[in-house]
Amino acid sequence: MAARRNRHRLLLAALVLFTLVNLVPILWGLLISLKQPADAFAIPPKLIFTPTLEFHQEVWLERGFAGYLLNSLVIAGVTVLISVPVGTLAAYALARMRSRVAQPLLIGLLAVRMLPQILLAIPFFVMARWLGIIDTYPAMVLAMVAVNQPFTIWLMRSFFADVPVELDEAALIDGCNRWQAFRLVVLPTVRPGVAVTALFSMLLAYNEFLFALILTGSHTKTLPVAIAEYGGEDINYWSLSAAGAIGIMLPPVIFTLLVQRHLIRGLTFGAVKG
Amino acid sequence: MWLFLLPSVLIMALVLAYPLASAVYYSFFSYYLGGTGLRFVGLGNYLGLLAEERFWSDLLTTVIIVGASVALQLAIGLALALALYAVGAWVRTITLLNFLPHVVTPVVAAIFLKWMFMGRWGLLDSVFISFNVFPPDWLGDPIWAKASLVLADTWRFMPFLMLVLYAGLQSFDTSLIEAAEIDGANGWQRLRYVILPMMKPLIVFVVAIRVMDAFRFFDLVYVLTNGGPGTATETITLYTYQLAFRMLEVGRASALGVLTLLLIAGLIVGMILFLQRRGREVV
Amino acid sequence: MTFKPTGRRRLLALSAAALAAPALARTARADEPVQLLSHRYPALEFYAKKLTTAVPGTTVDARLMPSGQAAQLERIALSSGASTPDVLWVNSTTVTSFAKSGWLEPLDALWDRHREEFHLDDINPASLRGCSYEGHLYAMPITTNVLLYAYRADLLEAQHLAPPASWDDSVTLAQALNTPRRSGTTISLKWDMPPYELQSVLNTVGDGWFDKDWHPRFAGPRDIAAIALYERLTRFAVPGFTAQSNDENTVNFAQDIAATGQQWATRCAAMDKPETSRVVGRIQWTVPPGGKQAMTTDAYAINRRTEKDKDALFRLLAQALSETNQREAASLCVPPRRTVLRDPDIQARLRWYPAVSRALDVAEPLPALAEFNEVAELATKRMVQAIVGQMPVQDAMSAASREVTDLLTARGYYKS
Repeated sequence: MAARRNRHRLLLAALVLFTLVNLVPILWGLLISLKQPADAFAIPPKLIFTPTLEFHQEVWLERGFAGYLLNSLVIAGVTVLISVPVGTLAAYALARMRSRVAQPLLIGLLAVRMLPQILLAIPFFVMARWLGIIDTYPAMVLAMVAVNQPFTIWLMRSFFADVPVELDEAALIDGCNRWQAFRLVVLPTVRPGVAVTALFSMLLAYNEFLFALILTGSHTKTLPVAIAEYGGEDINYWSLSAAGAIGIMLPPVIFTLLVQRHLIRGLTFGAVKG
Repeated sequence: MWLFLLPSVLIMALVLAYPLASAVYYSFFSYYLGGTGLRFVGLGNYLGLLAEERFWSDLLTTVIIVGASVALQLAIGLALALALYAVGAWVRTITLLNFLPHVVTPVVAAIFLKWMFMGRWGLLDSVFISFNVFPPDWLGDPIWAKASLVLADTWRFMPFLMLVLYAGLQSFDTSLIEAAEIDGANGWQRLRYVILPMMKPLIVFVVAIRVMDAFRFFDLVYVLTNGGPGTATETITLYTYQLAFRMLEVGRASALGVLTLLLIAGLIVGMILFLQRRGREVV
Repeated sequence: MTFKPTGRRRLLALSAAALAAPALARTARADEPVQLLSHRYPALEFYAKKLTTAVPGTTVDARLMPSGQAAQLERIALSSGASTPDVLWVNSTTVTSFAKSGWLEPLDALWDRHREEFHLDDINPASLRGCSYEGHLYAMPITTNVLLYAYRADLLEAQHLAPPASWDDSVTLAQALNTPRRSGTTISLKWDMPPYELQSVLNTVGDGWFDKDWHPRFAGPRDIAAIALYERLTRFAVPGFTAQSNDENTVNFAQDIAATGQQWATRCAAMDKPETSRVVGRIQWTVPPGGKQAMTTDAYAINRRTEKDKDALFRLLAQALSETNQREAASLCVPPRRTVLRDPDIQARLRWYPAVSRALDVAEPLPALAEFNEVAELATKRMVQAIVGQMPVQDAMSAASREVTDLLTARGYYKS
């Protein structure tokens, strides 16, 4: 028992160490956002300096990033609200179908994810312009939901695949229809799956760059596009994009924290199976 | 049952059918973005690309980088997921912190990593140089440049694998693992014969997704090396981008895109068939 | 089965409504602002701000981003026949390509009409050349940027060395100044833009890019010698030069890890600011050895399909480029107006201006070929392969010559 506890302690120490190393690029980015450029790239690296909030302030207050944050949140939020339910339904159908079409269909779905995105850029622009929806929320949301579907379906399907079919059958025998069996019996068992899927869909929509560059304008510009506008051509811009990058992380981090509760709770359904 | 599929299929058909179809359509034409009109060339674009040495060398580079980075991130992601599962303490904090690299906006993640790897004033170099050690040229040496890209991609995407695999572990039936423990299976045996087989569908999923995405590996290469030194890190997608927006040859770029799609699809189907022949259904 | 209106569903309905509202409002809006799409650096940011207030009653909606993205977005919009952006950023290489594709409004008539009112004759002819294609003017120059040779005056003085008179000298100088912690020179060969830095060495050691019929000269012995010389220079360069472009180059100077190198005029001001530089006052600028170095004009053009009044757009641009504005922006970029450039006050206040004036006199724009971006894409790749030793110089240059000839043949050159 003592050996086991020691082993756990060792493992934990290794995990903590790894985590710290893994965080270095972000911490360094944070430091850069708090320094003047002359100090930010000094050799040897400067760890003692007078921090400045100048760049954070400039980005969020003077350069309108607060408004872009709102755009990002609306687009990511609505995308998740549409994409996850719709994708979960489809995933359940594909997981339970005995038809021979299911598997090819599943792989076919992913074609979108196999084509380099840049090739979709021109047709997406043409289509959105034709519909007159460039620089509106629906354009981005529709694109994000569609692009997200294959991933959502696949991920949810792997979670449904782990749920024994006997569970559905029992529900059907007990007088549920398909919808009820899904909604009341199967869905609750894959809550961790739904949580993870929502998290990744949110991140994908929130961080999307290329489609956002093409489909948004000054009314709907999202944060990644805004940050990329300061990607270079002046050393001060780097400090600005570092400041933006640190700030843009907060909403997804909060979302991850919220989702985590559901992640851990998945432990319980083993008993249902019995 | 088919009704469950309807909303999803409808949205995808409405939004994606045209862009996908037009990419395939353009691949049969000579389409110069600066010129006027399209000229049908049949399979000309495809044959031209397949005859190019550049296509094959970029493909090889892509396969090396994708193979190495997916293997590395699967190994680390799985190890982390299992370690978190075994330790059970501080799980939330550690997962959250390790997940952060995946939260950073891709455009900026690449810049953050550039600040690590850049010659002399990048963090790696500047730490080494403070001790009067002069490290290799991380982005300028053909081999190190590939290694740096593999590390960069792993840093970005390992959290994705960690989280999905950990969530998978959480939703498994723990009674089997406990039963194996009672039966006297040691840690390795439990991993090999109980945990891994149970996780197979999820592992296949994450590997498939990562292979797909890594094949289209773009932002990181574009920002860190732009294919250099010379063509040492030029990937297929970088070449597609260069064809489309620098050479303005949208027809040839589309053909290259479709070739990429076919390649990845072949790879994924092959992987699934191989695994299926050896065991239970994985997809 | 029952459909309870759960909180989530209500939220969904609400958000759908919220989404529809702005979409409907958009079609109803009467007076759309002028859409400006531009590259972003401090000088262009300054002018974008001036544009939004230049003409009362006209609102300007400016989107500024790094050059690669801006050019990509412009190509997508213009090639699909969009009427916006109304005003777009071009430089000396994109202007030829866009003009040849017929995407830009020729400005000759408008220029003549407003010549007197806005003192347009004051604008440097060299800058105008950078906005023209086949004898027509397509854009209004904002700034003309030029490459200078920057060197650490303190280090050269300590060793009693002089700035180089030729590129051969520059190699010797870089070698003499090279130490483990401070490289002899800094080079940026990240191949994501035209090879501005190679321009001077190709033109002075080599024979340049093309003969008068657009046949490439790369495979000739002098161009090969030029690239071989540059390879020697890279041995004393800050490591990672294939992954570096202007920003990294600037940091290399600012952090005291490079002793010499080429630098754009727009970057000089950062060298003397203590917030960005650790070598304040120690850098000096001169003309690159032998001259004939790159210059490029950043300019604003009018979309040919714009639905706005083109005369009004022209006046808007001319207004923003007033002498007062150019004077105000002088520390950020090189003004195209000659009265501002030669102003003794500015020449004294901004210590790099004398070098800039001399550099402009001997600079040589990249070839005014509509396909130059594509040519550069092919040729630079081979030149960089030769420089990093991935290919023998001779082979790389012959390959470059062959590939460029094939490209231009396919684009309809060399007929007759």
